[in-house]
Amino acid sequence: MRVEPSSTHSPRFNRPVAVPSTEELRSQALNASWQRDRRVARRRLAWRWAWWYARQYAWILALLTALLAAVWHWWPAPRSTSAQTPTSVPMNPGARTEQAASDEPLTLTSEKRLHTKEP
Amino acid sequence: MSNSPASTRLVPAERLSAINSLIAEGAVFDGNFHTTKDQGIKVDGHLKGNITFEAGGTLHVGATGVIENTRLEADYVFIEGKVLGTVIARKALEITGSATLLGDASYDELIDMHPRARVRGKIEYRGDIDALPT
Repeated sequence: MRVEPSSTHSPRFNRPVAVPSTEELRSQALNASWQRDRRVARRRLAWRWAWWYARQYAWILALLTALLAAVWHWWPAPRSTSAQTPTSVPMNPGARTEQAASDEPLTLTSEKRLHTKEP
Repeated sequence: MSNSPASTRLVPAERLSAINSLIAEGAVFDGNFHTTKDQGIKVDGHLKGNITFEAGGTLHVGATGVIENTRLEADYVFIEGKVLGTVIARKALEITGSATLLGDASYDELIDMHPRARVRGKIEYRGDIDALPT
């Protein structure tokens, strides 16, 4: 069985420990308490004011939000560059004429007949 | 490190600095505190019971402090936390904006209530209401 050395033989036992005086302890405790008070009180007070302002001016906030939403919804969208390009001018004129030609009914007019070898 | 108590309007800072009893935050104390000497107590924890200073006395309820089912009596009462019960301040009563008082309060000389203080109860002046201002 292992025997632990007695605490009386520990070098820590003889080390002088600074015991705070009652007055020092009191002032330190009060200082720490005041610091905590200040922090908690400030936070609580800020929340109380914020809540009060929110309730006081909630209708203004709602009005502004509704106004912004309305403006966002009904404001005319800016015309894009592709929209400004006239649609009547084809980007590829050849393709356009081929497309137009394919849309036409296949009837042989006299002009077309001239280019055919049909009798 | 801060070496001064919360900024007060009525209760002298020297009175708060002279406080020599403390119920720390997180502690729960169930019972009555009574003294005949001019001392002070600060409550940061939870107290269920009365505090009575027969002569003089300073009571500081910290922002984290909660006192319930109580009757508090002292010369100076400074409330930053929550009190449920009756408060009697023989000289000055100060209730800050972070405080909540549910109960009646009476004072003999001075009272100060900060904006945003939450009080539900009767406030009574115990002095001579017709006395001329000195």
